[in-house]
Amino acid sequence: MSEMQASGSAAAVELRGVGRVYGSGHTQVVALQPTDLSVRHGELVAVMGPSGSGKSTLLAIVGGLDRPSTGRVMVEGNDLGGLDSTGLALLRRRTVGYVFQELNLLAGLTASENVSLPLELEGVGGGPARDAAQAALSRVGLSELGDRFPDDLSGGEQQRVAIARAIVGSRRVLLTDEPTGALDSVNGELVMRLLRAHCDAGGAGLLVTHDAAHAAWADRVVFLRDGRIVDESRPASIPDMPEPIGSAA
Amino acid sequence: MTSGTTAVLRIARRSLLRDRWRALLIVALIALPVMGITTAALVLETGLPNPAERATQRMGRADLRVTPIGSYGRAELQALLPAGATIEPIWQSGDRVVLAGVRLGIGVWSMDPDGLAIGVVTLVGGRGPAIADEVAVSTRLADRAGVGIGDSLDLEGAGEVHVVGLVEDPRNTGRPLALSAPSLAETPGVIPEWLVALPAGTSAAAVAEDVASTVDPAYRDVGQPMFDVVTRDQAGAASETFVTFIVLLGSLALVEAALVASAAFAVGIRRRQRELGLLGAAGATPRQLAGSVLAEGLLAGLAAVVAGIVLGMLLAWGISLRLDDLTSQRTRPLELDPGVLVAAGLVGLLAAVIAAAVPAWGAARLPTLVALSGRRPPSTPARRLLVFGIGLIVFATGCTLVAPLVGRTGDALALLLLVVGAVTGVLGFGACSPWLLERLEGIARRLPLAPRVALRDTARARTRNGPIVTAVLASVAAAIALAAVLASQQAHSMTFWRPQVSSDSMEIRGLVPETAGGRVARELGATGYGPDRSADGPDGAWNYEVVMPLLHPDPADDRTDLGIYFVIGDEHLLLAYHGEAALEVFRGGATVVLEQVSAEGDWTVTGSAGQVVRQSYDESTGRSTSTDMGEVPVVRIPGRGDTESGTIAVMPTTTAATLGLDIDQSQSQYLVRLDHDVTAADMERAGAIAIAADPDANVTGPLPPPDPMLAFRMAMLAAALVTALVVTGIAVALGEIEARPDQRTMLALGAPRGLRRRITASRGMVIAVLAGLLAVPAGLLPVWGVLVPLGWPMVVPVPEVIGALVVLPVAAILGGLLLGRPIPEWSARRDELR
Repeated sequence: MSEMQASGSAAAVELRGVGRVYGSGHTQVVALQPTDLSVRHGELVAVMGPSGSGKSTLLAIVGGLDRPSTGRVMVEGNDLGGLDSTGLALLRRRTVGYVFQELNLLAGLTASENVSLPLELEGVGGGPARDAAQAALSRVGLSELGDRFPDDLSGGEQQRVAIARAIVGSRRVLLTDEPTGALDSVNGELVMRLLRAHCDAGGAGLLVTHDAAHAAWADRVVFLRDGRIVDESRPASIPDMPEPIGSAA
Repeated sequence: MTSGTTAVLRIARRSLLRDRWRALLIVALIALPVMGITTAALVLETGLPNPAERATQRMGRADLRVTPIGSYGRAELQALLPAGATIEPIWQSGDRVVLAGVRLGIGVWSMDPDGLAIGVVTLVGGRGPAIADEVAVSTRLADRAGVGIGDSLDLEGAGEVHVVGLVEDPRNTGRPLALSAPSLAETPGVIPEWLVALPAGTSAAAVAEDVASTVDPAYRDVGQPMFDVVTRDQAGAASETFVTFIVLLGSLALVEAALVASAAFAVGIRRRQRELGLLGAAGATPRQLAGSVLAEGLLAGLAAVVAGIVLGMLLAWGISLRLDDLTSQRTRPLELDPGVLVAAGLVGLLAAVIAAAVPAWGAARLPTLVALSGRRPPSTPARRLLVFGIGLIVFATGCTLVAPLVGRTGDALALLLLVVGAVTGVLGFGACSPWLLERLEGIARRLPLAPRVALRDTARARTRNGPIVTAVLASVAAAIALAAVLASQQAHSMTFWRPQVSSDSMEIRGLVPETAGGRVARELGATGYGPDRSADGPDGAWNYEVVMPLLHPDPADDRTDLGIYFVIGDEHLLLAYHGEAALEVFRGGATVVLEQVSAEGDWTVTGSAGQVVRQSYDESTGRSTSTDMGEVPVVRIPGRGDTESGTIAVMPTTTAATLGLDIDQSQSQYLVRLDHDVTAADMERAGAIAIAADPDANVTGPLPPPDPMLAFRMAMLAAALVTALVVTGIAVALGEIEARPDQRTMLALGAPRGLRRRITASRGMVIAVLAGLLAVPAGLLPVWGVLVPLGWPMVVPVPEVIGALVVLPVAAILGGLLLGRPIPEWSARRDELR
């Protein structure tokens, strides 16, 4: 059993009464009603809901990109309310990995450099950073494509590089915002396998998706509507768990 | 208008409106040079006199202005003119007015302000002077002297005079001027010029030719004419150099603007890529796609032209309100010349369309599928651009090498070739920049994150950044080229420079009171100084004075009677003039000719004996006569490279006394020998002492003269660097626009917010380093081409090269760090992050 799994079922992410309001007066928009949510290590939680329901806001708050108007957010034992912007940046470098639907990679960096970017920002030397990046790329099955630039990669390859970057180093919380939105079904499934494998290895995952088939890969599905959790359930059916790509290597 | 054209125009208009800041940048880039050209042209048209005004300012309402070459006067001129011609004297000279112990140099004119000279001088108050002790003064002189009509003034040459009127020189209203009675122009000792009014129906050109071709009987063998004649047409003609300079500067500014605007259009195309793909998918032809981009350029150009012309007119109007004060001339009210406005507008439109042309071509070639994918389209192969660039450089080199062969630098064809060579050279080096960026990309892997991202981004967008680099290098290369020409000219002239006096001596010239020379000597620790009448004066002083005889060391050589600077003194003077080699023969009574080493190398004195001829002037007849004073031994030695005084002859005092030469005491100069080598501080102090006594005094010494163009070069360098930094800043801003999505990713990865600032600074550094590196050869190449055929050494202008290689990149980095912004907060700048 890995070290990550050893931490067992302690909550990797915990939200208590977290709400977010943008603007004020007649321009005020309630993006997220006070919400409670926890994600344990080894757990992949899918967040579903229509557009504007607050899914991305929820993800941004957990990732420390946005601050809640109310409530408390704990990520790996860190109270985000007590962190300044530098502390939040450090959290994203060391603890949280982010994957967006598109525009994930810096076009001026190679795949390997994109993956090692969080480590470089952390001050890790070039050699160890490259080694870690290569290892992460291997885990997503792209060890041969490290020198390529994003424009030279397919959409699926780009998203797998983004996942490699999100899991490089010792980061355990993976936040993904529609990671399969721009991919075909084959590549979409590949990405979902990677997410699943990350959580099975002891990481925690929060997946924002519109796609029920992708949500089926999660342990739990949370439904948001108008910024409020309206339902929470286990997926109707979980596909067979194939071996994650690259796990054999 | 076809529906397709309508659609294209609509798309272009909305594209501009949607991306307002970029559109504003493009409009500003085109509008500013248009504004500059409009303003400059209108102000020049208003401020510069037209041919008729120029003629009037020079010759009033006369048909001819005649200048005697010898000492011929009214009678001789009248004899050459047709019957019925009237003539009036006009005398423009100088004098000094004594004001509170300071002598102020002023213009002293004699002419009739109500006669033919009307317009040469304008009576603005009181009346014109009628008798010898009356003057009308300019406002400047009246203010300076604190006098008005009815007061008196002490003129150095004429004594006390009464102010009876106020006058103005229309060519220089700030000139201190005293107008005396016209009759003074025809008093003995004065050789005036003449204004001639011809009878109606007489051809001024024909009369001018007749008068100008009449040879002076005294110089028949050399064909020297008696008079020089200027007609109204000739007086009205003006040099167009300044106007040409303005047009050239404006055109260069437009080229710069077009290059930068081209990059702005390219960014717009990149941002509109999906839209272009959708248009292509909907059936738009490549021509229509290109048309939408060209239409964008046209619309932006139209807006820029309107804005530029309106702003230019407003600025010109504002300047015209103060133009009289700024130019010290009486100028006309502002005239809005439609030709100027149309020309400025057309040039602006052309620049906008040219700026949009390359991006339009790119849009037409963009495959629809690539456009729809959002991926960056493949760049033009850098190697192809490199070959093109090298071709341009070779062509440019050929132009600059051929230019001196087809004519002198001032010739139109030679000038055109030089300009074409310089411009194509800059474009050639600029065309090489994408290939260099591609090569530099190879080292990016080893760079820290910020410069790596900046270099990679710049290299990926090399097609857009090529024009930017060209624009930056063009401004810096222009400064380098100009500086190289000036520095090389200076070095060339300094090759022939030798100190005028020995290292411990200074020469003070001007109408300086004797006390000034003594004061300089006392304050600076002199071992001796002159003038002094005594050969054995106090403090080891020696005497020398200047006379103006003519020396004929070789009677067969006509050139030597053209006026050698002739001084008489003792051996101290000879030593101060570098005559050590001839000291012994000088002591023996020989006159020593210290030959000037001239740039042309054709000015030498031959022979071992000379005939001293004294010229004297008879005021009663207005004629000068030459008197043979006798022969003297002459020794020639090379020396005195100073080009100001030319070849000089030093005659021993004893020899002058033997010949019976009178000393001309009005030609005062002071030689001060110090007990140490002269320093720049000594020169400055001596200059201050001398100028306090005589504003026109000057001090020359053994130190090389400062480069007179250095301040101008520094101003040009500063202007070039500012231009380059502004263009670099625009390039960086465009790069930031394109890289905006990256900021979201960086924020999500925990990048420090200041990383964006470092990347901004690095983007500026990449552009500045590349442009600076290319600017050095681009600037030096055309200069090399000009100097090689002349055989002149080329001087690399070090300050400008340092400016290009060091100052520009450092300033770009500092500018990026100071002006760059951090990555915006996720919540605070959601719109910007998208």
